[in-house]
Amino acid sequence: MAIPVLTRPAVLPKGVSPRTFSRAIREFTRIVGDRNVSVSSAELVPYAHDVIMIPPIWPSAVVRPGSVEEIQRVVRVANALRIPLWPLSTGKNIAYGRMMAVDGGNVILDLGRMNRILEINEPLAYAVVEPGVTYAQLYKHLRERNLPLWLDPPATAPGAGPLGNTVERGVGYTPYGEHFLFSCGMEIVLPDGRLLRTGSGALPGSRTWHIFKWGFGPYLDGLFTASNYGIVTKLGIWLMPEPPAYQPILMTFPNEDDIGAIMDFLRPLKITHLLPSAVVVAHALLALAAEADYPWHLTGGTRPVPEDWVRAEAAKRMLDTWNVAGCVYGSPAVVAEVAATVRRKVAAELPHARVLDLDEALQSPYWDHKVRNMTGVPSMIEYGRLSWRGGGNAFVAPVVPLYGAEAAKHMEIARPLFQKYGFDYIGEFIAASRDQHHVMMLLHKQPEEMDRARRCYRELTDAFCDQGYLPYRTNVAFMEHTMSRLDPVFQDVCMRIKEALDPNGILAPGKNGIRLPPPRRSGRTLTRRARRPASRKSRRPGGGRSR
Amino acid sequence: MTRRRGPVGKDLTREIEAKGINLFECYTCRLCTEEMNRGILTLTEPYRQAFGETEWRRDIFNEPVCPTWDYYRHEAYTAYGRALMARDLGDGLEVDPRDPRMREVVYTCLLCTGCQELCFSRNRVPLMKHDMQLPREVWDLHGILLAKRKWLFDKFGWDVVPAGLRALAQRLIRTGTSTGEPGRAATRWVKATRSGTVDLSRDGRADVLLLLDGTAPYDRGTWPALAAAVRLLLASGLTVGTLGADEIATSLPVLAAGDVQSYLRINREAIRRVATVVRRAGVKQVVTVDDTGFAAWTAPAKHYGVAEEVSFPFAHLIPFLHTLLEDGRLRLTRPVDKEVALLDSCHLGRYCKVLDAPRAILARVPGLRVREAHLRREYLYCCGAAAGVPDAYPEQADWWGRKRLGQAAEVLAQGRTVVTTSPICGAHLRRTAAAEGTGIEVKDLAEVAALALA
Repeated sequence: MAIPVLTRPAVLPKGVSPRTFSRAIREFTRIVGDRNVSVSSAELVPYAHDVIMIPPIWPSAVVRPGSVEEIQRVVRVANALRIPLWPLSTGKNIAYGRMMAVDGGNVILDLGRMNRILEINEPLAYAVVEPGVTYAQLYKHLRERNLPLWLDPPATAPGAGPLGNTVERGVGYTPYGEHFLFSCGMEIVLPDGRLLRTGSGALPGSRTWHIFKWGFGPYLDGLFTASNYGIVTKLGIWLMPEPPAYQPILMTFPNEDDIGAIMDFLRPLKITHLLPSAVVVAHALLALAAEADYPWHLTGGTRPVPEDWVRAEAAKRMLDTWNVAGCVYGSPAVVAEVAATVRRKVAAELPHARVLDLDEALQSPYWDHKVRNMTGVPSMIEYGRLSWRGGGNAFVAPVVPLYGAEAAKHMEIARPLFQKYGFDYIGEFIAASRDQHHVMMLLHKQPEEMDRARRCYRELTDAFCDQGYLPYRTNVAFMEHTMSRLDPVFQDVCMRIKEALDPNGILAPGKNGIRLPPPRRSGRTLTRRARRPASRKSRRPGGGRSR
Repeated sequence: MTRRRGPVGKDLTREIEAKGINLFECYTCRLCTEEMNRGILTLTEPYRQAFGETEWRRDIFNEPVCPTWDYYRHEAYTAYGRALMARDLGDGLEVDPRDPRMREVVYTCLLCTGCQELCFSRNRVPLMKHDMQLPREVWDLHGILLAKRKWLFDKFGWDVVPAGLRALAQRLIRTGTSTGEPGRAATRWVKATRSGTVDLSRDGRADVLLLLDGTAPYDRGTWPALAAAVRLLLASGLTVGTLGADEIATSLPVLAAGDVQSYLRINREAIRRVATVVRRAGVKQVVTVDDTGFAAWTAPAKHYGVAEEVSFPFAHLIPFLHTLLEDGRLRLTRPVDKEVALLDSCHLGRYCKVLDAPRAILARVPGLRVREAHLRREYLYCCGAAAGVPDAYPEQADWWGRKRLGQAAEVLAQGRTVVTTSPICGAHLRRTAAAEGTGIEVKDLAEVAALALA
């Protein structure tokens, strides 16, 4: 077997000698084949970048296994040689880090080759997928077979995958929008190379792995989301049976302070599931950022985009200050009745609302995109935001109780901070049952505004945490900082689980702020001091990277 | 391999920025790679033309459009990866010119511009149609890929160019022919096919100067296409001349190798040679059969094209034949009872946007039943023939050739004939079909059209 040409990489895994690293590469090559091991800088390039506000983080190598068995073998080698591995599914976690690891020098474990749709069960409406399956692939698979099942794609979906999105606790827009909630049964390669099947799958030959979540004994699945305790290699996802009818409800509101009334109006509709879709309440700039040119001539990049400009541009696109999209599903009679009820309530309770004609609205790219999202069709218009200021985006995503006053308070926190750093507030509130995700986009110009964006992001994170609003997700540069804001006991338990499952700390070090301290001589024992939770001061975003 | 920040690659960044390209304009959506969602493209007129009112509503095909992504399934082998590499080179990334993987990332790209056509960032401006003023070229993948090759060549010379491509490009520079034969070999096809052309390198006059370029006259498989082109022009009442032993070679592989200086010198010299003949021989129209040559002489300077230097009437054979048909000077009357699959070529179809003329010509052939591969018009899938890739990476080129032939065969009910609009594609596909024993016959569009001459 040919061994790939190995020139010494600039970034080695921390604490790993060139000799050990070379040995690891030889072992990986024997397992996955030379074509599936990359150490050439040209092949590492895409794995070093995202659109967030930090310079590239270079991995030392990329290994692309093609089966669970290969992953197990790679993990065993990594464990023996203390090589850090950073697993990826489709690598499309855009604006949260994409393919980047927290640290330089990790070996990226790219699972994109494992892209089989293992099962579609039509009567029970679920699919079982490998990590490399994309939403586009699954969508095509369902459509080609005329299966009456819907996906729940996230906003920038087609190239992303359901396994990775679920494991990162991503959300979508149909009634199945809380993806982890609608997942069932995982297969996981543990850091020691053993294979764990969760829930009902723990029973050999289980016939209920992907339909009964809880199994027998502790429910473990959650441990393997937003963490670094194992490599999820199979996932059951529940698919929404295609409803006989659906009716999108699209509305606009003219004033920024309408947000309170909108969210209070939505709460009873969401909590009773009268409006079962995720309801998106998007600020005008969020849509404009995907469709319009940033008016540098009006702002110089340091002042907010003028309100007059926003109104004028929004009007061209059937948009207004707030833009609301929800959807009703069911039998034609039920849909007609519920939609009429919602409209009556809107007329009675929301005097500023303008309910849009659906056919007319679908001529607008933004509304077309929203309707696709709510009806299980992947769409990608939101990618357009990347050119708003010049290639940079990072999501700030705190979770808020579903009250109007809370949404208004969030605006009060967010807007001045964005302005302080010369950025615009660009955000949306996504109403779930009892909470709303306040997703804001820190759109910045790369590389010029990276530093400013980094400072802004940190202050936003801290400001929301100070007020008791925890981000549900963050990017690789801020994972350790965000973890440092959490209760020490929580941090300690996370560390203890890590220590128990991955005592050598080889799996995704620093992911979601979980990182074992450097080993003492024994290499395994943690002292009380070493186990001390991360302090805020000791964790600088992006700290510890090479370069 | 080492990485360090420094001024090393700044000249690459400057070169790219001078073309009006912002290296941070990529959305990372990878629509350039795998056509995952046509939702956004369905708003475009070219897309509707390509797929009609029903088919485009299928919305998502999830089909690879980048041949190298299709083959490697590795992020580095995408327009996204390659553009990022240009950015990193500009930012001080150092590469080893002997690193075979680095060469493979750079030089397996067919320069087919499929990425460019589907690029969301590039398409966004005309799509949104709301008073947006950004030039479409702000994100020009083709410009980036060419600039990167130039930079690598300027820095490392021929050492960085893969052996097969290096040999081909050097043959073209040295001899002006893709095979390394002397120029007089360019006249063999005339005798072999008994074509009635005038050798304008010696003397004589002609209405049309037919440029054959650096590949077609040296490939026996292409000679029937050249003969057919001549028959069609003669049937239109035109006299046809060639450059004989002075045939030019526009030499895309030299550009693909990154030797922009030689490429421009070769083309400028070729333009001068043609201009001289045009003046001396009273040529009214210069017509090329070569799609890459047509692209070279119509491309803008930022793609290292020489469009601004061409001072004589210059056309590709296919649109020229279309004009003759439209004018009634060429008549295709003899029924041709055949089913054929049309395959557009990247350079002529996608890059130069000559898409309607081939269809219009075939539509004029009585009795001909024309099918189209699903990936067609601007959204075609490259057959693997371009940019010297078959010489540098023959295994990959064959793989793409087989795939493209398969796409054509898929739409043929009874027939086994594939029609191409490029002699380079034709030669490559013919070799692939023969090696595979598929029984598929590959014809040039001119050959099929000539069957309908009375």
